[in-house]
Amino acid sequence: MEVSKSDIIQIIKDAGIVGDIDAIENDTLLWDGYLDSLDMANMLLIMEEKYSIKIPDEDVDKLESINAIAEYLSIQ
Amino acid sequence: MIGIEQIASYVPSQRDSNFEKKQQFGIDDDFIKKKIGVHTVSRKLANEETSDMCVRAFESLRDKSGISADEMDCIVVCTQNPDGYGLPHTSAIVQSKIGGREDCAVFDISLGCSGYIYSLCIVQSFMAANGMSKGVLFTADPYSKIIDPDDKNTSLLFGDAATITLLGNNPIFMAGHFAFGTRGSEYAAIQRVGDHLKMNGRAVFNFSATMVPQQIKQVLKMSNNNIEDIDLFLLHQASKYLLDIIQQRLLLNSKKVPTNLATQGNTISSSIPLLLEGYLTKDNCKKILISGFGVGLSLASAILERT
Repeated sequence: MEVSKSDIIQIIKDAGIVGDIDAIENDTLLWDGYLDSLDMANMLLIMEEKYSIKIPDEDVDKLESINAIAEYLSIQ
Repeated sequence: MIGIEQIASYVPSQRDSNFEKKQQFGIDDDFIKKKIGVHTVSRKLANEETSDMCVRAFESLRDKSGISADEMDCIVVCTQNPDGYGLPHTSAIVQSKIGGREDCAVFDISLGCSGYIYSLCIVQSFMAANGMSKGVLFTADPYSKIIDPDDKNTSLLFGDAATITLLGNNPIFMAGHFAFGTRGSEYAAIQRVGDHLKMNGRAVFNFSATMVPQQIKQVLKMSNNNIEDIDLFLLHQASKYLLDIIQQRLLLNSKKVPTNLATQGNTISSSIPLLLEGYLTKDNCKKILISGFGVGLSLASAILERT
């Protein structure tokens, strides 16, 4: 499925993550000052619900940037 | 009709501060205050048993209501951290310590964060079915017995406390419209492994964020209520973050969702009665929805109506 940067930015905003979300670069590491484990759990849930997928725990570490998330979702 | 007549509690005075663990766990003030919402966790004394915590709660009830142990037709303890190895049942030890009658029905219920609501239904039904007049339900689940102090997932969250709910035929609140649920396929998300508690935070978050709003909507529908008809939502005090998410998903007015996490933490099955205790005499709170969720993974919800 095709997922755009704006889709992912919206998911990050929907997860209530604070900060200048629109300014996040595609390859910025999200763990560096943007989200913690609780934010990630919420973001993952929102993605799972939005795209009707299940993201196993072992894949979570791959979702470290907007680029990585887009690439991951595109092959689900 | 059997319902809630009074609630009393015992929260140990010792506190462990999460602010003193910032360096250990790489967290900051914002995480403590805004995410987990627990500033300090309450801790029982090292030589204080689960039954001792129940006795302290009973003494508080006795001071409030004048009740004596020999008036009780049943004594029930909800715990998953019993005295010793759990044999004999902790409620028998409590009965001995407070001086209950020998013809009193005494048993334990093994449930965690959903335990108060399940137990409320069990005990009031048991009492009604057997023509009992007075009974007490204790919640006392000191997780400090099994917390790994080096585990960020659990040591920042769980506190110790005990409560006692007096049930009888002159109630302040009647409980009804119960709903129950279990996802046993995810039992491993919260379990004791060896000496310590292990928790998969993400699995617990997913379960709670999705199943709790669903069940609350089910209870509202069952009882022909809208969200606006409920005066208070007393939700299990899992963490501030989870409470915020559930509140957002249900579009609840935050003024109707009180919290007492900051000074004691998540006290397992005691979290709801600890909150409820403060609202028993607030006459403007006529309809309260209670919802507990956690280990099992289990959840239960119900509506309390003032008589």
